[in-house]
Amino acid sequence: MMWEPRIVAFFCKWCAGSAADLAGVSRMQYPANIIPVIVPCTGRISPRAIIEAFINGADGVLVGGCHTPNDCHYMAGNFKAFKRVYLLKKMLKQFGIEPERLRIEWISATESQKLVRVTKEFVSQIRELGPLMGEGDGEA
Amino acid sequence: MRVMGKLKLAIVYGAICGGCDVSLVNTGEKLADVLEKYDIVYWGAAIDGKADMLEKLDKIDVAIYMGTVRTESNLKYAKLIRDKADLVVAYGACAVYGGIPGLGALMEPEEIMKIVSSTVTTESKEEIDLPEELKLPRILPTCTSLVEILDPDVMAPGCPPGPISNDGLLKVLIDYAAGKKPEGKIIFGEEQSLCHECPRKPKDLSKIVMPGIYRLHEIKLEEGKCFLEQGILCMGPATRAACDMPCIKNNMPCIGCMGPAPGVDDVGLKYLSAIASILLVDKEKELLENGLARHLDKIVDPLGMFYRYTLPSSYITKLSIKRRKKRG
Repeated sequence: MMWEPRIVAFFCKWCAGSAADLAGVSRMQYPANIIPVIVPCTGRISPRAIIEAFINGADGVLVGGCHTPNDCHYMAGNFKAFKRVYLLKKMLKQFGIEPERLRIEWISATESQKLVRVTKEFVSQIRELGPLMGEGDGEA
Repeated sequence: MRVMGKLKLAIVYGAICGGCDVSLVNTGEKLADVLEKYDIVYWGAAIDGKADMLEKLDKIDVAIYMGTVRTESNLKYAKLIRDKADLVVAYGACAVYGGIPGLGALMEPEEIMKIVSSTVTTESKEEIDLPEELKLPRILPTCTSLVEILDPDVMAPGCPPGPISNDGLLKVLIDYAAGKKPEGKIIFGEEQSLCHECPRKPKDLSKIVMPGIYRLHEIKLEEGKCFLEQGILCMGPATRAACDMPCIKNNMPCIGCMGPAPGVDDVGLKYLSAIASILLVDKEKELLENGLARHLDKIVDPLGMFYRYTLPSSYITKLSIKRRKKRG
């Protein structure tokens, strides 16, 4: 069986999540490798949730939130997410895991095209990096 | 050497620096009270006894294990004490969480051995053909804390364990000699984080703001003011309150040797999350233009800083180990 990258995407409800909805109703196509998880705000994504995704078989994690500086519906959730992701990437590198497997993007509710572009880009990037665990973990 | 009617106490080492021994001996006269009830059957640092004497014994009453499990020999003695001892004590941050030697969990054993034999300060010699019993014990693929290998009854964290752990342990030993075996697992310390007990209380507990990240030599520390509010990384929020705060009282931030606060199983991720929440709050928008990341880059070694004592027992290490296994 061919290995397919599996990507968990944490989208905030207001921006990236709405963009994903819009992409859906506009019948835009994006890779099916993305497993979206909608959260109220990117500021509530704990680093633990990201690591848990990796341990349970994700090859990449995408975090999508509202544009900085002023779009976050909870004032500064996106900044918190940015700081967490930035530090976590640094730590992943020290753990010997490619920091490129974790990506944060600001996608507003109207930018469904950006969402499609980013997911396509990210999937092909992860495809190049290969499976996180050797030959892929084989689980469905 | 053996006195009738006394209980048998063995103190066994893993990968250890020796600080735990010193800390235990530092209890002074209190230790003498314990020794009235116990006969030390094995303690590499204090009494003359070889490991095979320990192997010959059928039963030990209490065994204290110090250090990380790093070599085959460490593992063998860890298992041996669990088989023979009624009460096993994991003593020190290394035994309980992995400690400083635990930071080696990220490296392949071959890499470590290469460094051991190639640096200027170490003399390297080919291993000559020696009889099996004279060979040095092999290094394990990864290093683990004692807690992950067996289930100790008592855990005394700290690097080295402070008075709270020591007094607690001696009390357990004396109670045990009186016939009272502790119920369930015991870990010394409070069921809360260090910040609850810290004398350097921030002005407003609900809002702590880090004005940036500084190293100790970069700023003039204000005494009695919360370290985080001065921009110094202090592990207090994620660390169990189980010490007399010798560091805090001497104007040094907490480095987390007492292990995770209750309810936390991965100090690093929790602490990372906490730092991201309080760092430069309200200034983010202005800083965005000239790079918010620059301020975060001042944490040069997040892994070494956040996981200084807990790496092998942390959640994130599973990822690295699982990956290595799959890659073969």
